[in-house]
Amino acid sequence: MILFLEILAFSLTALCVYHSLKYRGKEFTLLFFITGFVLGIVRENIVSQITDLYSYNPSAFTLWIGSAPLLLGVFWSYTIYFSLSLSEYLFDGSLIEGKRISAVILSTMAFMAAYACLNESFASIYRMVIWRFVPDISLWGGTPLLVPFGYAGMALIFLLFIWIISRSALSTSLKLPLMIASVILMVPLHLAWIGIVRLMLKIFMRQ
Amino acid sequence: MFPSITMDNLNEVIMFIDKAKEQIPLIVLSIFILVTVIIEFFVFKRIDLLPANIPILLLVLLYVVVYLYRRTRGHTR
Repeated sequence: MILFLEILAFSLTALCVYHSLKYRGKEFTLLFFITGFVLGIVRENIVSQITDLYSYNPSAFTLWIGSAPLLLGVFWSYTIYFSLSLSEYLFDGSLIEGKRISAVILSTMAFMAAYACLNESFASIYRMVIWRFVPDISLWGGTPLLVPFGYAGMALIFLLFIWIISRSALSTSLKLPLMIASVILMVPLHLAWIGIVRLMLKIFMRQ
Repeated sequence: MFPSITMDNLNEVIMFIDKAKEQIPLIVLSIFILVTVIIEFFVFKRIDLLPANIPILLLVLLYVVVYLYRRTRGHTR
């Protein structure tokens, strides 16, 4: 069953790449999906090896890169991609053109948070994630309340970097390495975001 | 007796596929939701997890309503 889910995720990511190539162009697609892959693998390796947040169950995934399941290389890309696409339609906006960008990003964050509830409760069935802390407030499937905020924060950080770099006057051959290199900023920024949310939840909800 | 295939039929099919291609993000999200609900409900009988799907279902519903509203009003993107 897990292998089926992994194959499904890769196949549906291929559909998203096709859609992006057709409607957004080659440059955006390269920036978005290659950086998304690097971000997923680097971030999940750092989180599972260094932080006290969570690690992945070794028996729950088939293919790995270090401590990160290969699936995580496409996970952030396709979730942010469909959230962004639906949000752009809803608000008649465009990330790259900078049209109604605040509404588009906020809506993408809402989609990501909502998808987090579905995805993490589903992951709990297969015990894909091993939580290393005990939350006071949990959602469905024992998912800490922190998690939907974490998904939303990832969308915010990733889309801001995509927006800044894709609007720069650099050539594609320079934008891509710059975008990939920016992962070393995105990961600590996201961990800082999670730290702040965790602190706020502790203060306001005693988590 | 099979219905005959005409150029009009073929054009309608091609137009439908083109419209479907525009909606790939919605199709991808819908497949993930569907697979999740089927596995949770039919395979593992975890009814307690089903409410976790409500937030994303509401957002998808909002998207579909806006899409249908714009189509009936003749808005195109």
